Amino acid sequence: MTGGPILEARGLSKAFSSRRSVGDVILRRPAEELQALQDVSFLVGRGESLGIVGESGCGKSTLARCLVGLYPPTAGQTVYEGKEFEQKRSFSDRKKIQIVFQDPYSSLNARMTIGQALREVLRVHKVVASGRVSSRAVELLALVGLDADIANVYPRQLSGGQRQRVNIARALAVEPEVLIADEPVSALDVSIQATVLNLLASLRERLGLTLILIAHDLSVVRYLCDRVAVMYMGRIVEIASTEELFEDPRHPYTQALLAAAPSLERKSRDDARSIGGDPPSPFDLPSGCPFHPRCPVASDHCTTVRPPLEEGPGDSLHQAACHYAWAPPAPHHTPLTRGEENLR
Amino acid sequence: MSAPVLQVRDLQVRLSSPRGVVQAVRGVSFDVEAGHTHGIVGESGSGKTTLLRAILGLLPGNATAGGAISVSGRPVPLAGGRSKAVEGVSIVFQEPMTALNPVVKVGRQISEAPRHRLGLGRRAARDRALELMRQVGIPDPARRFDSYPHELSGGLSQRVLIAIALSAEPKIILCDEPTTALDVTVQDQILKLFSRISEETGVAIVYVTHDLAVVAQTCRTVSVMYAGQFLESGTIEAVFGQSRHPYTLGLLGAVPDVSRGRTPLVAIPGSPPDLVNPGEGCPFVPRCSYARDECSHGVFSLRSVNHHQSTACIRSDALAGAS
Repeated sequence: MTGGPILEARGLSKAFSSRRSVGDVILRRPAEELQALQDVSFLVGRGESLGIVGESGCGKSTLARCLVGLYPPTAGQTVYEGKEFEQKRSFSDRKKIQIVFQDPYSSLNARMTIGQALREVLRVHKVVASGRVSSRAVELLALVGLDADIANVYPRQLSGGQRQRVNIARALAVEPEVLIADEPVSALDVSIQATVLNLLASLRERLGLTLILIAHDLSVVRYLCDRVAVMYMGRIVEIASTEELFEDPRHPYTQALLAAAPSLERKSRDDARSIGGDPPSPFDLPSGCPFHPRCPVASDHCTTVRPPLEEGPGDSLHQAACHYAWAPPAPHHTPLTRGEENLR
Repeated sequence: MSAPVLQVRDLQVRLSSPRGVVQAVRGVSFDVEAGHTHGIVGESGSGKTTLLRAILGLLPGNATAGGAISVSGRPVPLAGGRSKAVEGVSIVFQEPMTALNPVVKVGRQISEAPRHRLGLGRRAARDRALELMRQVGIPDPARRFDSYPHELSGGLSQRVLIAIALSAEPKIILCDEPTTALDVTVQDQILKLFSRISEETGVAIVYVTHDLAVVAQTCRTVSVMYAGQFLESGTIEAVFGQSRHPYTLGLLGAVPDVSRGRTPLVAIPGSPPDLVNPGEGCPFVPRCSYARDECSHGVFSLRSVNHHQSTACIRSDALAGAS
């Protein structure tokens, strides 16, 4: 961790209720609860970049929204520089954490020019004196590597990469200290992705930003982040420095994710670590460890007792939520047999 | 070397649009042999999907096409219309959820082609569907036969689509970004399934995607498509290992890779050309750091540089050893 901690998630949980149909109401069936986020805690150091990876539905976007304050968490707090945010964040608190969304096409108002969109933010948040608003908007465009004349065009006239730069400029307009990027490049073409990734890296350096990068793509996280948290079914299952996580993953799910990620440089596939099956339904989570139905090393113990997120013996920054992360299974250990082998 | 099941020769497709005529495919030629998997990588708008539609004989009404496509020696009618040739071609689309009929049980969707095209009876078609479901790794086929698409996960729906693609005993399966909508662990399973199918049935696969790493792990040969043309073609090892085209080199340097640490990424400057009026010469010239004056004139088509690859770049000698 560089610098002291700036942001902390303390036991964040978020549940959503499913919509009840008329029939459900008449029959008094309660709404089903979906636990999108369960007891997620971590620290982010000032100037650090933390990556959060996981498959769709693992809760990574919900986590981003809880941190920014777009969703009120059902339990837990977001702590900023040692102080908890209030349930309803004050105007000045909201400026401190900003977010860039995945889809650059739908996150800009189609009927406002880029300049109008940026000036609106600057005026509403009174970032600069009213006489300086226009020139500040141009400065922001320059910051993300766009020309001043972009201010006069509409979003539809821009490419995806340019739009994503505008989104970053708009997020930076209120001078946040923490920037959350939720899948910032997954909607972009491959040749464009690099420009946005490099921009995020250089902004972090130039402005001393703290970056939280949400991605499903491990390669993006490896490129940009100092530390990585892996999520599965609403919980963090492993968190470590990028180096450690990619070189020495301890959780079988992390190992499976790494084995499944296609790579140009690794020719042979690590079949021993790849897994079958689909992620379980979030409405009906398995007992014990949520990963046990797909886990190659799960034992009976795993079906009943959920492993906590625990530190490794030598390294306090590497944590994993697996009974066998640090101690290999006992010699008499027999892996669960299950009827899903044909999914391989 | 067996005779190619798919032959595409100098395919040209023009689409009329309110903005003018879009030259979506501009002189593409390639062959795929039985049992082989050929990858086509390109960014959005490079003409990949139009190329697939032409092979299926499903070009839209505003298209005019030139050149020739044949499947197992039979010509595919480019102007539309039924043909025996097209019956040997199946496709697997990107979005498994939208490609299935939501109000028809998946078993019936899989047995449709065996019943109507292969002329099997109801019972035989059901047995065939169950066998296909088993072949693509759907657990408990008898129960899943009566499921509706919304009851299946993304990975299972994609397996159903693959079963449908196999159901008419095709010679070629076209895959249009079949795993882009899936999670990595599920993508991994589907990619392995494709390799197994091509080994077991000898079907040829044309795999279209924007993801270089996916192509590297599933295909034996690859073509890099840009602005409606193939810029480079060859074996995976040659094209990705010793690329002889600046665009391929640019792509390789622009994507992060899980096995690589923080090697700096170099973005390709500029953006792809407008295909309404693509102009003369090599389409990559405005973004190319190797470009010379002579690159802006003439026609650029693939020519072979060695046994394993061909390139459209006339300065490919300057690139040897650059990757």
